[in-house]
Amino acid sequence: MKRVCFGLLLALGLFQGALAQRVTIHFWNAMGGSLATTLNGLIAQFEQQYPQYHIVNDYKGDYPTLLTSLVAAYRAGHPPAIAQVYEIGTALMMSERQAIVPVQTLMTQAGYPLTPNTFLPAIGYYYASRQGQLMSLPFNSSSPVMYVNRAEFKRAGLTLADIPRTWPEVKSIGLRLQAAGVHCAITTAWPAWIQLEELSAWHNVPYASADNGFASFDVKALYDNPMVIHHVAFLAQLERQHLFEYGGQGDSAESLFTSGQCAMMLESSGARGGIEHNVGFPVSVAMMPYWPNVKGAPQNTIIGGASLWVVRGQSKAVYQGVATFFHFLLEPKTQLEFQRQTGYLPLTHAGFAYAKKLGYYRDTPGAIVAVRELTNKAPTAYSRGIRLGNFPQIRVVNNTALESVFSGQATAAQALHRAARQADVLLNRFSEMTQ
Amino acid sequence: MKSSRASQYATHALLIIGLLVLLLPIYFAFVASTHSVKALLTAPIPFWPGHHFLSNYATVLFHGVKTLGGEPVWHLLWNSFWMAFFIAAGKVVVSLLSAFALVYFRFPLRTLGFWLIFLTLMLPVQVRIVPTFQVVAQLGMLNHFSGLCLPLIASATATFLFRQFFMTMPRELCEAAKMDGAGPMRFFWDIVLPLSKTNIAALFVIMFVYGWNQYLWPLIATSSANMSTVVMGIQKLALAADQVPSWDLIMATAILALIVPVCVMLIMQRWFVKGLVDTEK
Amino acid sequence: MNSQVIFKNKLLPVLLILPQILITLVFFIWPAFEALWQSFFIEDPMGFHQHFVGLKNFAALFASHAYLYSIVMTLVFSVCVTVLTMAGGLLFSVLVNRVTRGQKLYMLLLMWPYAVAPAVAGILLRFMFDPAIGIAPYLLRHVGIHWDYHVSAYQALLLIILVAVWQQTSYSFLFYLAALQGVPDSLHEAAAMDGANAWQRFWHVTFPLLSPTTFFLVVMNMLYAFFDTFGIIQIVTQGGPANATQTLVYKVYNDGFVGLDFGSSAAQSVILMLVIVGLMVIQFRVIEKRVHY
Repeated sequence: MKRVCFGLLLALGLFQGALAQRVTIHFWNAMGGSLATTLNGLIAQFEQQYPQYHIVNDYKGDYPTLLTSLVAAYRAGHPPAIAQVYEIGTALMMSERQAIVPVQTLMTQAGYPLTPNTFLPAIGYYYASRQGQLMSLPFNSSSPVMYVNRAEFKRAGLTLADIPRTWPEVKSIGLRLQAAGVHCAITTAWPAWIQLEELSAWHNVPYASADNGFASFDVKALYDNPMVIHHVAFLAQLERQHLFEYGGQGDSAESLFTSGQCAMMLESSGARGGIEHNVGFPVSVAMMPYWPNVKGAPQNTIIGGASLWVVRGQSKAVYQGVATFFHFLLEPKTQLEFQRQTGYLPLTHAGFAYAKKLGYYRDTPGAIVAVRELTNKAPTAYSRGIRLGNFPQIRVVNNTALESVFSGQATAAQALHRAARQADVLLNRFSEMTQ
Repeated sequence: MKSSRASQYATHALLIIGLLVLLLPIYFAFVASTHSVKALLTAPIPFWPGHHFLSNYATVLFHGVKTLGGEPVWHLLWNSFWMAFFIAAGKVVVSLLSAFALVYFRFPLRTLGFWLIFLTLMLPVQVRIVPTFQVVAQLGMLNHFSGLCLPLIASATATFLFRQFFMTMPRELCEAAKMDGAGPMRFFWDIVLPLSKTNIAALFVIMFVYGWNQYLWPLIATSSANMSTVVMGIQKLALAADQVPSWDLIMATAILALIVPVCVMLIMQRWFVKGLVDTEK
Repeated sequence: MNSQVIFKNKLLPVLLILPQILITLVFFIWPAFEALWQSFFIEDPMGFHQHFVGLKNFAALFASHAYLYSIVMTLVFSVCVTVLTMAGGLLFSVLVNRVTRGQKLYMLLLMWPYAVAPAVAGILLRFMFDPAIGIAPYLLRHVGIHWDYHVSAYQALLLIILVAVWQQTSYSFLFYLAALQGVPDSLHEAAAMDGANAWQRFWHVTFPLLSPTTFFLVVMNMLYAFFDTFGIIQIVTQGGPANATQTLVYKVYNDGFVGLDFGSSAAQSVILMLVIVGLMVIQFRVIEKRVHY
């Protein structure tokens, strides 16, 4: 009896000791709902493999809330080790160089060297500094794709081969759908992201000066150019013909597609899982349409989503743990698991090859479309990404502009010119803030 | 002045219609909280309560909602209760002491103190939200109970209410106490406090409801799910991006969030009305 | 009563008033000065770079379309909420005052929305007006109205007005009822004997007597609409669509906490402080003049 007690006490003591020696790493993230379950699973796997580390999954709410909390925590001297920041916060994080540890430096020092070239081009370059150094770790990335309601297509006598590849085709196919009684041909979620930002990259047209903001913080908006204006005017014309229906900002247009009202929808690839799961009709995924008369189109799309930033002020042991965790996240089989559960994209060349080899894209045909878009061509200066200060506010300005066009209050040219000037004011302010 | 029977009926009818309009949102919320989320996916939602009352409320109370970080709502209710209690009690105590000092003493800082307190009437928290947050962060009180309650404890209205009341107390009371050789604190404890009982009760009730219903300050002063209060917790539920809202659980949480202050108000309604009317003088 | 009997201690009162003064200084005055200070600077969110720009933040605000829109929208919103809640409160109080039975019960049943937090009121009505599953849009569709407040700015504004009115009417109701119950019957009888009917009696005798209450309620409701509706706006529209329902207070929060532009947010705070000072000065000035007792 005494032996048992002593043994138990000893075990307890050792256990406590082991726990006490575990390095605790705080991971602030915005992964709620089912994403939280996925993340918890990954963390559990990691801790099993590396029991000396303990990752704390701190769900902070949505991306803006997380960023605000990060700023407050940093100013108060208690920041987390890892923070997930959305892609439109990249310019801000890049400008706060003193607060972060570049991921490339961290990983190389820990013995897991990597560069932006480790990743798929559109993904690695997005988060690389001007000098070509990877600053944050790409984590959850997505690309805009076109979802097609095959049941409605069938009703109009259309086959998969009829899925439009260009915008003129969208109109002609739309007219055929309309003739067959389909309520609306196409809608779009995230209007400013897809119809302005991604449109520009897909057509190799600059969105802003200084290489879309990569080359300098002194930036001007360039998206009120003839090509974009022509495209938005085209959408407004489609709307007047009841071929296009505006569904609001954010992802509120999804209900137009999932309820069967609109036969096609442009949305993030990350929504695929939820859509396929919830609708009662077969869905196909296709690439974003393009304008065939624009030279160089289609180029490639840029990623949406978020990346993981490492914050300064932690101990060496913590940084070693962070590097090990990142290394774990980049392992091909972890990437595949993440893709499967969430619908986000593969990150590295190795991860993509591994998933392909295991037949993931064969089994889940919708999944490869986004990857194809990202890797369609080697990124140019205009399609690496967009890095603007005050980007969230600029998106609001752009969404307002698009809304005024779709509600008939302004022409495409008027709305976009006005939006671009307002964006310039915001960009100026950011440039002043970071001087 | 007696109005006719017909006009009495008309008045009652109008009032009942008005009542129903006011009660409608609560009714629908309650109905929604008793159904499963599937029943709430398409319009129109059911008109009568469903069978999931116990399971929904049990889920919400003991397991929380996943998008809220899974914090059980009983814990949020607990946080709300203590926050409201400390804010109300804190306000009452602090104001009693200040009002007593302002009325019964003459001291160098008296005028300055009066105007400083008055100044706070012009500084509701919404107007100084960012710098107050920064101050609290600098003091290391973010995400702590102290940071949640302390900034809300100084209340000019309460102080002025008590000051008003003390000024109406008859001089003889104080003179009698002095003649008995009582010191100021004895006077305060034995005479002033008992006489102020109704005012204290009224103020406590009003301030408790006020504290419970705080939204903006707890929202920014707390950052972890286990420090959340139930009213600010509604935000995480309502704004979960990329998720179809689970209205059944959201409505259950909303009902739980409002039931305490409403009951407090209805049960202590006499004091509540008194407190409301008095504080606005 | 200024000639109060007082105690002689000098240290004790200081100690008694100290808690309130301390909290006031630390959490009210210091932040207010910080806001004033910050409004003259432009700084990056994490605080590495800060430079003095004088009144530039203020000038930028008044040159910005978004801020001017917010001013107008806040005024429109506040006036609508004030007028509607007071009319509703007055109506209810008159009705309740007229019934001979059940006054207490009606009072209880009409006063409780005031105890509901604005944010909770927001979620309740948001559910009823949700474009996808709400009962109100469903009914509106049957009369041909397409309700989607995510898309229509007017509908979003209408909705937040509705929520505020729903929640705040009982406040005006309580005050009007208290005031009405203080109007002596003799006044009504005298007017009736002069041949005035009920409508005339109300507007020429009762309502003027309620003018202090009315005035008080105007100020309180304007303050409510300006400052206490943050919860409603965040829960129902988040200031959208595209900042169409962004009141001045919401903008302070949005620019400061979400936009991380502390200079602009501080400037807006300073302007709001001046607005309150202005409102209070008006309140005191007018109260001194119009005493209808």
